[in-house]
Amino acid sequence: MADRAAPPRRAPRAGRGTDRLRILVAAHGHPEMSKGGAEIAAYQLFQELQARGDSDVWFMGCDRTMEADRTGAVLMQPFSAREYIYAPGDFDWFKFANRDYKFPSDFSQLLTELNPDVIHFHHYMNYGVEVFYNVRTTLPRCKILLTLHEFLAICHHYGQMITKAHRNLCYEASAIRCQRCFPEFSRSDFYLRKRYIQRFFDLVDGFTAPSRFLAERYIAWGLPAEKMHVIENVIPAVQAATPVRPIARSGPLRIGFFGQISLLKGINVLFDAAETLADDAIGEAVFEIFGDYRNQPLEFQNDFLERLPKAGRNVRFHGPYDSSRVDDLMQSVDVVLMTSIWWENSPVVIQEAFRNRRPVICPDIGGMAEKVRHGVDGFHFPVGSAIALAALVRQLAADRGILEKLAETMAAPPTAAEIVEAHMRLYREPAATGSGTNTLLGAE
Amino acid sequence: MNGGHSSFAIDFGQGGNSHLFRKEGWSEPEPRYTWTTGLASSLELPRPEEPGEYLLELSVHPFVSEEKVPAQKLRVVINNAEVGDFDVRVTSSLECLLPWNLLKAGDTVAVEFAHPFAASRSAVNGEPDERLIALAFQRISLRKLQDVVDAAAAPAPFVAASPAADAAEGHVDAYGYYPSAACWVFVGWSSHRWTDALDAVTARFDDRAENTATASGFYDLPGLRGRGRGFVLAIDAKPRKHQLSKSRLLALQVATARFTLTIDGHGRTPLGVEQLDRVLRPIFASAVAESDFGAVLARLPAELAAGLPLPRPASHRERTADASAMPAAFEGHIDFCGYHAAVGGWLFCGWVTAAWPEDGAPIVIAQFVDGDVSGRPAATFYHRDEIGDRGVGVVFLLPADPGDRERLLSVAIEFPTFTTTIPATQGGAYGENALLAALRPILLHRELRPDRAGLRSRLFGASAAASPAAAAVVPPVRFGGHVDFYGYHPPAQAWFFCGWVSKSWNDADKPRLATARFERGTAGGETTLATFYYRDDLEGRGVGFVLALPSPDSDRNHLVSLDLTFADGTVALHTTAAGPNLPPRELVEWLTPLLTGGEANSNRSRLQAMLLPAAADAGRHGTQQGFVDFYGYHPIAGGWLFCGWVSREAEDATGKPTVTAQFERGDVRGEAASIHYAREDLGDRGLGIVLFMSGPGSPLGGLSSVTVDAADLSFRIYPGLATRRLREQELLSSLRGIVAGAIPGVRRDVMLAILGREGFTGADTIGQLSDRIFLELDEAIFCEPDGMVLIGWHLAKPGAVRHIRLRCGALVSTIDLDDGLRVDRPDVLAAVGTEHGFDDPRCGFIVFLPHAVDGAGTPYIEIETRRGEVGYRLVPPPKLGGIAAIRRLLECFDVRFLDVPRAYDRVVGPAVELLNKNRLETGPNVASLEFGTPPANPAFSIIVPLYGRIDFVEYQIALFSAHPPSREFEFIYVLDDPSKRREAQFLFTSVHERFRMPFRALLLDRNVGFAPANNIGLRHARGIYVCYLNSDVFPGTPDWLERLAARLAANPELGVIGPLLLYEDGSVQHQGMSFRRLSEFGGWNFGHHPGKGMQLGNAKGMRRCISITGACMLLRRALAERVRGFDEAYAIGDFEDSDLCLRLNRMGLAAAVDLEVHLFHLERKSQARAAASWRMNLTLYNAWLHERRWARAIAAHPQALAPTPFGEGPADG
Repeated sequence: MADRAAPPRRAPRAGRGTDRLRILVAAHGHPEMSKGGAEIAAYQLFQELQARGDSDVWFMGCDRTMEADRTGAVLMQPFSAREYIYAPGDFDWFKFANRDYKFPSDFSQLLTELNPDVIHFHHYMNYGVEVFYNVRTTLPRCKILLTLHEFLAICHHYGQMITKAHRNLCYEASAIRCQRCFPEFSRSDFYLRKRYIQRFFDLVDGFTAPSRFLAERYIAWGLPAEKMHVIENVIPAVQAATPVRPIARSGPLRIGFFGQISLLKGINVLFDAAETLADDAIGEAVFEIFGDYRNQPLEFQNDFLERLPKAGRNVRFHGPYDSSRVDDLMQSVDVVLMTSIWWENSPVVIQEAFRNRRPVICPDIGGMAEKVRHGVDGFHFPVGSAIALAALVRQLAADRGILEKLAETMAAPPTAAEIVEAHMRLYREPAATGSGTNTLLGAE
Repeated sequence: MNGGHSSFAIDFGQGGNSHLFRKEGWSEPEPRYTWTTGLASSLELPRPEEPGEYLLELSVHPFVSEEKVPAQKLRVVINNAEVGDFDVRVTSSLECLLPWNLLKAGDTVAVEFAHPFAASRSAVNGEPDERLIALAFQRISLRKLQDVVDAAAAPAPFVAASPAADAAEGHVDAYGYYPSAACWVFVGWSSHRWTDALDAVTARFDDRAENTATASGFYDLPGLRGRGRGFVLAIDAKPRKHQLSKSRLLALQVATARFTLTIDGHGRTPLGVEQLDRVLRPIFASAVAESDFGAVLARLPAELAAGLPLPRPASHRERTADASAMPAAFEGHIDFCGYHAAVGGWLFCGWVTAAWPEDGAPIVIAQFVDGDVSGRPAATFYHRDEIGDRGVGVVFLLPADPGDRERLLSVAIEFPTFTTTIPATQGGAYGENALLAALRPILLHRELRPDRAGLRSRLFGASAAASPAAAAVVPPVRFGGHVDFYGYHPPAQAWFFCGWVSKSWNDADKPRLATARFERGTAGGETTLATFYYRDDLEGRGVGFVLALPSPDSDRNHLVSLDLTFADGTVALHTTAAGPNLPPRELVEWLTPLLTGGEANSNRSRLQAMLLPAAADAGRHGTQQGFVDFYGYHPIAGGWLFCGWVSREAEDATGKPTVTAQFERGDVRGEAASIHYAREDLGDRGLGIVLFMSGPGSPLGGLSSVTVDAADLSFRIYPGLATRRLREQELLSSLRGIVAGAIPGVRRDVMLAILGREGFTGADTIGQLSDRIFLELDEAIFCEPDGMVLIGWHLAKPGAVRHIRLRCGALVSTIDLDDGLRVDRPDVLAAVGTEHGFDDPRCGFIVFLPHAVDGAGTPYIEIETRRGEVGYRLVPPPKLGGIAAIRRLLECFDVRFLDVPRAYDRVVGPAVELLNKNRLETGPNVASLEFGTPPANPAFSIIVPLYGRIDFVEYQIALFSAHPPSREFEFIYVLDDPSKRREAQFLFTSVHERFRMPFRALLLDRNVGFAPANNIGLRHARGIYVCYLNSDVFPGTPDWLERLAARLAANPELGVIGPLLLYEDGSVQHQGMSFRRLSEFGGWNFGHHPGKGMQLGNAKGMRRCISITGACMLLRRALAERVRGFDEAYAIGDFEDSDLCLRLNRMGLAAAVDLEVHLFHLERKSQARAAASWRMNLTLYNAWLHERRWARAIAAHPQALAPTPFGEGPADG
């Protein structure tokens, strides 16, 4: 509604006689201080754009620890002249409302100074969904893009769309279903939450999702399909290309698990499958676990540490690794395993596996099933089923040729340059004609 | 101690005489008492010699502890017969009646006490005292009952100058300081004597106290009539400059081993040395022979003591001559007073120590119960034999207007050098006739200086000189006399004549015939009924007479003569030319005192009886008559007491009588208790009666009559002129003796209980009642201006309690628990009930007393039992107000169905109405915060009260911001929840920073509720339209306000319009309201939302309905202001929306819902979730209020049951 009345957007920078776009990439964190996937992807994009050199790029991240150090400062530049850090205050995590009354005016002032053509948000956490309203009213012709990283706007359960009590997969959010997970809220609270978020999502010009699956979930939730773009996230570049080691023809089949060790990543599915296989002839298949469990809830950590020594000799735990070593480690295994029991979106580990020409075994759901084509890029097994996984492993260990064949059909991951180019195309695209579906009427 | 007398007393203090009588079971005496030890104790008393009933009085103090030993039981056995059984809970005076048969049995009297609840201090309190103690005896007295009765019933001697011993314990008449002797000297009287060596005397001044070495001397003061002795007290004190001028004496306090005494100092300033000398010299001179003033004199300046004995003080005649020698110890008494309209003032008659000179008259302040009258009086003094040297009679006039004063308390006389307050016999003032009758002999015959101050001529005029009495001064040479006044009394059908004759006659030599010759006709006959009385004005030359002449002929005018025909001739008694023919009432008034003072013989009684009936009662069947001897008000019992006599027949009255007391200015009617007693003086003709009538003691003037209506008999008793209204103390002490002598029985017990009622002292005394009665108050809620809600419980055997009242200051409210709200209290039954045999679960109560609280008083409960006893319970001080009070009241009951209207009509409704009104009397403080620049000329003012959840503001503004024209609307948020003030200001600031929508926030410093909050918002509103919006309503149709306003503009018959309201799932929340009567809730009308929770279907257009919800309603601001918004009588929030719609309806303006405009209403989410039962009861209160106002309008309204399509016109599309 507000946007209908707003003046038509100008063509980017045409009037300035240069086509250098002014781009602000904003994330809810900064990799210097937190290593979440979204902030890494955003920062990576920022760096790639800078490297291209055909645009003026700024980065904005958030950090909740900084305000204490610089009393009263809302925005600061601890790292470089092109990087801003916002130190957020009071925040409503339920509907992503930013109640920090010091933020809007400082942010508006910065926007006026930077005068970007495009602001690409990688999240709305810490900024609040009203940030889109702020941008729209401060810079009416600035293009607003938002990359969706998980289902947070849809699902109050950390955006994971699995039920809180039993961690069952959830296929659709509704006031009734959400209230079942969160009895402390009323149905009308979930109704209001959705209206609040969508009232501001309406102001976003384009959404990007790294997977079709994610995009469709959001379209089903109410985002207009014409605003939705599927583009991979930029992942950190390989330091130096490692020569690809072929998959071993003999010896045990080495199955690698990479990344966070957590309940949702399905580590117990791995343990259960390994247990099933433990009585098989030794050396047929070995599970190698690379990753960190120490950021997880204590309960999970205890559970994991209790289970690890009881695991058979076919399970080896290698502990955390630095991301720069991931290629070497992947080269050391024959196949990469994902056991997540939630939907996943576009896991970085899949891109990394493809880069190292390693087939991926993963559950048959969500972003994983989309990225790993069964029988082409790897193999699916029914989500959560250790028995099925064990049977699959037995089959692959017995016949290595299956995996070797995959090496030929496996997709090559897009390069960073390709992904950045896709973003640049989106940045330059003329604005969509309308502001999208008017969701104000809710139930109508 | 000799046993021969009819009374003696045992003092159980140290140094007392108890060792002569104590036998078994006693501890060693302590300073003031002796404890019993063990479970029984005994005494042996000498047998009194005089036959008769005796009264044994025991002054005892029980050993009690609240938890372990609540009471001591005391059984009294005399010569093996039980005479008393008491539960002693506090220091008490107990009485046992001892019949002579019991006493005469032995040579001595064996007294045994059983006290089975004796306990040791070590067991009860843990104190190191192993004695098994029960009661500390202070004093025992044995007195002949008749003596007690006589003492109590005897009228107070006229020298009431010394207050009754129980009212005051002494008086400091004068005091001063002798610098030369460095000591204070105090002169006064005391009911008790103290010893210099052992007892401590403290002089308490307003700025300090003195109690260094003292010396005292005592002397007889005849005026005290044995109630005490005069004293002179010296206290050493170093001279200090300031004390001489500034000090005021508050009291002398005497502490002895046996008593403590407070002698009032009245806050007076000291006398100078010379005046002090003048006071002291005569005392020493007259009293030295019989008193020991040695110690005092040793301290005083030598010149005072020198030359003793000093000359005796001058007689009153001499004193009158020497006006400058006014005694400082000034005494006196006012015997009666009355208002005289013609002279325009109050007349007082009494005596004073000395006459004052005409040019040195003091200022006199007459203190009445209901106000003072003061001024310099015109006074005359007269001779009074009975006072002797001690004073002179005085009559003085204080001009005053008007004369409506009720009871004279005392008279203060202010001389230049000192002020004395002299007491007055209390009671109603004399009527004018009685006043003149009483003053006539004084002023005509006894004045020391005739017609001093002109009082005589002013009151009695020139005719005074020609008074009949004056004529009578001529010594009679033969039988003769004079008629002073006369009159016809219709009820008696007789003429009455009063005058004097030179000689009385008896039946043997009485006149054969008496004929009254009038200017028109005669009256008379053979029967001559006469009685005689002493008239000192005749100085032995004759006697007064009253003569009745039965005659049916009342139509006569002026008397020419009264002819008495004796055996030896006829004597004509004449009257003065102006001699008064009195109308009946005056006749009775004039005659009654004369008859009362006359010879006690049968003629007098017959004459009295003839005067009794009032005209109106003549011939009334079954009406009996009698006299009131004295009466008075008993404030503690809350009723009037009358003592008098009635004819024998009255004794037969049965049932519970109702008494009507007629006073000059109104009647008092009430329930009565009565008791009869034998009166020897009346013989067979009558019985003494004591009547108690509960009722207010408001001043209504003199008593006219008392009518007693019993089931089968009525009788009426009348006051005579001598009938006195007694003040409380005198009244009760008189009656106690009388009633104690009446026939024992329930009626006597009841009357004794009434007389013995003690005032409320702040202590709870319900537990001390003979019956087991519980009444506990959990909460008292004050409902300004004068209402009170009491919440508590009560248990008693059926019939045990006669009345429960709330007393506060002058107000008395009868509490009928069954008229209030009964509440189940299983907790009470469990804790108390079962143990004491009660099983009524509905023992809880809530009552509302609408006019019960007198701002000046402390409220307390008074329980009166069938036995006539009274117990008190302090009402806990009300501590709750406002919402807290409303909530407290509403959360303690649960009523449904038929009980609902009763509960709300009688208790809850009126109480909450007051509480809510008072709560809102002073509005809250409103802080106004403006966010952004308010629109210049807003079309819409949207008023949103906030309570509980304030985050709805964030949603509302966020969603409104999607509709750009709303920037020009005036949003007014009223924060009606002070607890959220801080949080809200953060939120408001943040919301404004984010959305830049201008709005105003009104922060209230207390929670006022929906209607007041909206009304405060309305006062700040500037829009053409005002929209009342709940915080939990969110926009659906973006331009809903514009569209609703268009509807209002297009349909002038519409007063208010609302949108379709939907739940979040799209089903209907509100599409117009109708009403339903809910039998569960008293059958009252409750708002009903047809189709609620259902899908809307295809309905379109507008719907007319009797009411719409206040969650979202739009009306013109001018209209809203005209109807003053919502009615704040609805508490917190309910029903005010339909009240508003119904008020608009009454103005011919309809309400409607536009089904094509919708918003979402997340109903009830804005209220606190803990909607406890009190909220339900509050809703019931609002429903009650609504029902009373609108039940008829709703019943008559066409849309009361369901909304209907709006009109037919195209505007409905």
